[in-house]
Amino acid sequence: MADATGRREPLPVVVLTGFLGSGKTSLLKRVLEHEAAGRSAVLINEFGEVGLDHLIVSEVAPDVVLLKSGCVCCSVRGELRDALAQLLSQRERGIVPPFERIILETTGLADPGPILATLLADTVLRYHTRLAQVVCVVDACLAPGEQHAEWFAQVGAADTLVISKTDLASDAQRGDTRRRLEQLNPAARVLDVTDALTAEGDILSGDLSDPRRPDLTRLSAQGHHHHHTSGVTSCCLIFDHQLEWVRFGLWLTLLLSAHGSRLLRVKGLLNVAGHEGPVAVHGVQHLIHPPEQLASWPSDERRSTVLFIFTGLQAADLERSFQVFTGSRAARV
Amino acid sequence: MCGLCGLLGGDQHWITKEENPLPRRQQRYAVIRLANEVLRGYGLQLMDFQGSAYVLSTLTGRQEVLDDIGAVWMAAQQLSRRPIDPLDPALLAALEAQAYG
Repeated sequence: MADATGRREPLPVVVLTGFLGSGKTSLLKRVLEHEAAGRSAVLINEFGEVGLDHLIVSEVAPDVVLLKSGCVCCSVRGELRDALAQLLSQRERGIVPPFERIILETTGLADPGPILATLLADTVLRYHTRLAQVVCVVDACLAPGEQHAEWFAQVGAADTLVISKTDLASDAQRGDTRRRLEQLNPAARVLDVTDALTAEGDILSGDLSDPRRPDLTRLSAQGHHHHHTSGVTSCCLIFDHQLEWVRFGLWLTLLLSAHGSRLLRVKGLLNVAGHEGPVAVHGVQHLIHPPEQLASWPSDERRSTVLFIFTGLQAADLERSFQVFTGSRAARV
Repeated sequence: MCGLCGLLGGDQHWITKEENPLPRRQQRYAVIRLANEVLRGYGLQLMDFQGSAYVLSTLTGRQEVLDDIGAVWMAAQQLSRRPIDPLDPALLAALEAQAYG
């Protein structure tokens, strides 16, 4: 839909990630068959991996097929940026149906940081698309200690974590996996795969780019503690007085410069001097999304809360550094 | 936008974007002043260049022009040949001693 200037709304992008054997491909197949996919374009790595033959209606362009659900499915060869730009151009020219959202499957070993950077930094893509959410699929039977660095990066970047193969796992395993994911990434909601495509789960059209979600202040109320799980820690810095934006911003850029690859996720709502409403900050590794000024706070509280998920760093060092650079004393929970 | 380097040039980095309460020029000067409090310990100085770029200089006169404040830390590490780590206890102690901010 176009706004008053004639500019169309950017298309929402859902990034679907998950480690090898996570159940991501099975979920992707269900997505492609789902009726809601009829208004989507799905970019996948390889048609053969998903087994699409019985779903294909026609080939509308090289590496682009139309499925029975109405979904446009494109196999990405080469650069993601080029595949996306070409798909958008094909949509503009009427070669493919006017899809309303894009679902992007990453490879199993993909660190999502560079993919998100492509979406957010490329001048063409940034104009035509916006990141709606990152969905990460996790095997319910995962065994602690067997995860690679990329696995933690995927989990840390996720807005929604989908636990798959729940029929193969015991109740205890499912519970352990859920608890572990909630500890690793308190910023994400955790779903069973059976709920992923329901109205409530809604991984296709749910939009978690709303920077007020989740309400991080609940973490302090619940007493969220940083956890050391396979070397990954999550902790919240909470502070009641206002921040000077430039001091915070300069500190964050320096932290990213020195430790960006270790910072799996940064997400927060800040009480900034000179602003009525909160400023939302959101980052994945080296990438900070443009901070967003919000009109209002989610509650009467005006405390700033910033969640950090990181590996290879000490929470106490992070807290001290924050205090020195911003002049603010924070409570760490 | 990348946290390390703004890609547009013309200083569109999120620290100094126009929506912030201070006028943009004041934002730039505040950023430069604070950055210099850190850079001083590494023998570096940052200056404004024509209101849209920055010049980072060493004590020996080596210079680098930066389009964007986000690039300053990487450039500073390259020019000083030292890592600049905000978690470094020595850096934090030095900043506290000089009453940073």
